[in-house]
Amino acid sequence: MNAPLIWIGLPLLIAAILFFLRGRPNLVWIIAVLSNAFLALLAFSIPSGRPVNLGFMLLPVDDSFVILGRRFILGGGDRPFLGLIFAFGAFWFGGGKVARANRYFAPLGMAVMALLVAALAVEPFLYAALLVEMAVLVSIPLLSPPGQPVRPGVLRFLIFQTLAMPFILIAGWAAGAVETNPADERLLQQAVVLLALGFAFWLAVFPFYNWMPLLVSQTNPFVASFIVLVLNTLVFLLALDFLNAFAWLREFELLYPALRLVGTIMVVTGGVWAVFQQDLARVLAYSIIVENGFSLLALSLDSRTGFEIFVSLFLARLISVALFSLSLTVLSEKATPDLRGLQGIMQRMPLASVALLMGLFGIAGLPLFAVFPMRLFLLENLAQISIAYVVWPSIGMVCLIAFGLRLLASFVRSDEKLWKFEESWIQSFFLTGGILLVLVIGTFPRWFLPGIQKLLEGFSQLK
Amino acid sequence: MLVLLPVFLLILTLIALLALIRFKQATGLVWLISVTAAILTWVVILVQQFIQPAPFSLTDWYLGEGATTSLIFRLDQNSWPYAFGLVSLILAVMMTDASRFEFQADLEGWVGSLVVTIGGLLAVLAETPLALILAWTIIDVFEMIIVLRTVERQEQKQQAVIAFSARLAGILMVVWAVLESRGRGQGLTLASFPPEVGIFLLIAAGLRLGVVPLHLPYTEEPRLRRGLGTAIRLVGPASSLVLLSRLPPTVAPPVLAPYFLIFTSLAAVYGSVRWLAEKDELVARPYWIIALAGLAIGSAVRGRPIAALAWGTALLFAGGAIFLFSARNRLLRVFFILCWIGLSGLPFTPAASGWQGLVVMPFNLLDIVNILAHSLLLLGFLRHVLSPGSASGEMEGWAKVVYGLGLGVFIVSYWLVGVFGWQGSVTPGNWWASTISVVLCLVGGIGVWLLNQRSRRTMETDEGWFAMFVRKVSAIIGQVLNLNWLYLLAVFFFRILQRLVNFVTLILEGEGGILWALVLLVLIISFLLSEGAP
Repeated sequence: MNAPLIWIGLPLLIAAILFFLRGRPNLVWIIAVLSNAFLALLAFSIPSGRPVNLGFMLLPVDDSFVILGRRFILGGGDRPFLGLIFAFGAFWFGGGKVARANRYFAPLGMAVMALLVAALAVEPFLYAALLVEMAVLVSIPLLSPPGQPVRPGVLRFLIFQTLAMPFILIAGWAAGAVETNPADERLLQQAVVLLALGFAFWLAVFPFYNWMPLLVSQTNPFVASFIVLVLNTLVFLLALDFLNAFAWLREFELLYPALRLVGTIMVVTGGVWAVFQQDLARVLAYSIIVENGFSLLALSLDSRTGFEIFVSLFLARLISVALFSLSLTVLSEKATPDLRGLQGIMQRMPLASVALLMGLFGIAGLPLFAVFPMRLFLLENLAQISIAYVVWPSIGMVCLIAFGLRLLASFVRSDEKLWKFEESWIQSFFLTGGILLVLVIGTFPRWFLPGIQKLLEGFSQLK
Repeated sequence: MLVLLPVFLLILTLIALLALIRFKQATGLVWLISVTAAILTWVVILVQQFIQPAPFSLTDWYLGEGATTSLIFRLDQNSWPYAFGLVSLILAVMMTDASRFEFQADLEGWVGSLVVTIGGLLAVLAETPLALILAWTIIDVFEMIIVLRTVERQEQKQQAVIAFSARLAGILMVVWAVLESRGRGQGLTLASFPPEVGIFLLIAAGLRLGVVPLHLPYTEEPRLRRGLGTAIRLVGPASSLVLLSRLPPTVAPPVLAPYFLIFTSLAAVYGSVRWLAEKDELVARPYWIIALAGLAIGSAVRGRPIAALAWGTALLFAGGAIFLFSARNRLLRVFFILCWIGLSGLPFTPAASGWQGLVVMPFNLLDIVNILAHSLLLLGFLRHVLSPGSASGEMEGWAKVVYGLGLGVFIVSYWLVGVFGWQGSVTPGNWWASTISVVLCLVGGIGVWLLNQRSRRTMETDEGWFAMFVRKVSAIIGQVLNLNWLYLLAVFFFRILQRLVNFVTLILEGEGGILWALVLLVLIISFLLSEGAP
């Protein structure tokens, strides 16, 4: 037995089985949730480098798997991430039923996750670009199910993600050349620029993010945000991997100021653009952009603290965005998901309305909600460098909060006297779970952060 | 942990209350248990003033180490008067609700009052900015939920959202103060904030008083009139004003201090005039808060946090008492004279130490304005106490006793705070200033009464000329302060910016969007290479 087979091979196998069972949505739903929960549990419980005691025998679990001369390695440092991503998968596939995602969601979603885990595990890293591209291609039928017209947002998503691949591949070649000839400044600059461009396309970094609002508003927002989030999380970890692996990259003078500049632009433009929107799906996209901007700002700190904040944001972001997109999809069943269509909805669907507000305010960084502790700590650290670095991101945050208040005002615009609960029991279950998670993480972050910070164990070179 | 005992007791009460309501127990039993628990909490917090429990610290609340990441709750001379005031208020709310049983037993209102009081207690005990931010958020979120569940008209709901937004802005001000402070390498606790960030904290306290928007009187919904309405109206200011007494003496930069003082004095006069002129104490509730908050913030700006504490507690106790005073009789009015004396700031009364923040040598025009504002406040208090209200004779005997006891205990609590509240609370204060204020109040009161009598005879109108004059002038000032003009201006600019954003979006998401993205990329790269990065 080895780890890549468990967390890459098994999900791919399950994805294939689910694909053939797609005509039986309830069964697919149950298998997807349980298998993801099981894989998450395994990630948290199987020790690295030691055999697993099954009671009647000791089962050795190898960390690596070799196929066609390429190695896939999932060591002890990857386990927290695997636990997180599959737990996230369980929640997301569970929510898929609530969000009435198309029947390909669970099978192809699991395949996407498996491919992205493979991208993180593969060596040499060049192949990560190919695996990410495969994941992107597999995700297209999810975003544009057969029989439906292909929307511009999906096309642009495909274009930008595909553009990343050549840059990463060439960057890989350049990186190899830099390793052998570290004194060549020109080569070094080329490698960094190519790598930065590749990651910028992948992560929808400014100015390459305009596909995101298009994509989320033209497809099922729950499915689209799943794809975007899982892709972003994996690519962010790949970026950490690169920083960890290449000293020349870590020590490149312009890298951190550039991250700070781009992160700031993303937060400001995402926030400012969000406040003027009417369509909530677009706001969801802009809030993801804001969150990505803050992740870049965390990286720009170039310190252990910065990396800790960076990985801590993963959990909070996943939960907040999941809650936002799930509640948005639930509300979309009853009304047009824009400010006008949702007027007075709180009287009819209080749980979904509150969940959506909590998701949005959570991403905006309001106190008591999941992102706040990390956000405050990030801003404090930026303020210690210079208060000027805090001004612009704060404007972005305030804009996102301002949109939340506009939304709240719209939600309560009603003269109705009675309160109704039009959410189904299963919707209520998932929404309540999400609300509680957002609150608990926001109120007691110490319960969760040490676990999530173990993600950094795999990156020993990051100071 | 002992310091949080009152909070835990109230949480237990809340749980018990919810359980009893869930299992449909008799209202009387629910009320009895709630009042018993509130009395127990009141006794506990009274005893705590003498045993001074150790602070509760939850270190390393999130990443990193040090006091900024800690939640510290401390009961000291700054927090105890407010904490005691909040617990006394919830006790008074529950006891005086006995008088309203015949109309409606407001179980949900008690739950709401308890929740905001718990949040308020956490806020007044908070010693670190982080603890304060979290506690304030709890109060605001629950208050908004309660109001939204209670009011019915669309406009009222919109007002509740605006009020929530104003308070949220206050919280963000504190967050900004934390960041500024951290940028200067300071600000581990509220007391260690540098003066440069004091302005943000003063604005935060002002925004959170619950007076924006101005016209949110909660006088139409029965539940929000007395018990619950009083609780949510006063917990906010109490939890905000406590900040003033926690701050260092130099809270505003010297350059800005005079402007702040002018603003607070004018606010105090405006508030006290409206307080005096409004039809009844419930309609005038926001103006009571404006007037006393003006005095408290002004005292803090002058570097007298103890004086700010005195006016803050006056706001809570004297205000709470009169807002709960629904059924009236002669005996109870005598009790309120005791409260009025406490508010007067005459030597050795609870508000006496407050005068040190209102009148400071060398004597100047603002001191006169402050004296005037205070004397109008006193006059208004007298006027509202003496106004008819509803008669207490219709109540059952036991309810009458409990109601009277509730108000009595609350007023006695005010005097207890005045005696034991903080070091130097028993003081002659500024005896001549307080005497002038009281004399002005009495003379003015008699004068206004006489003029009103004459006016009634000659103009055959129910309204006195003074009230009419004040109402007209106030209407003009109110138009400015209700911020509608600001709202319209904001909407105007919002529309312009929205068009601009939509135009840029159209370009970036149009057919040429990818090329535009590349152009932007080139711009960034050239910026990075030529100018350097931030």
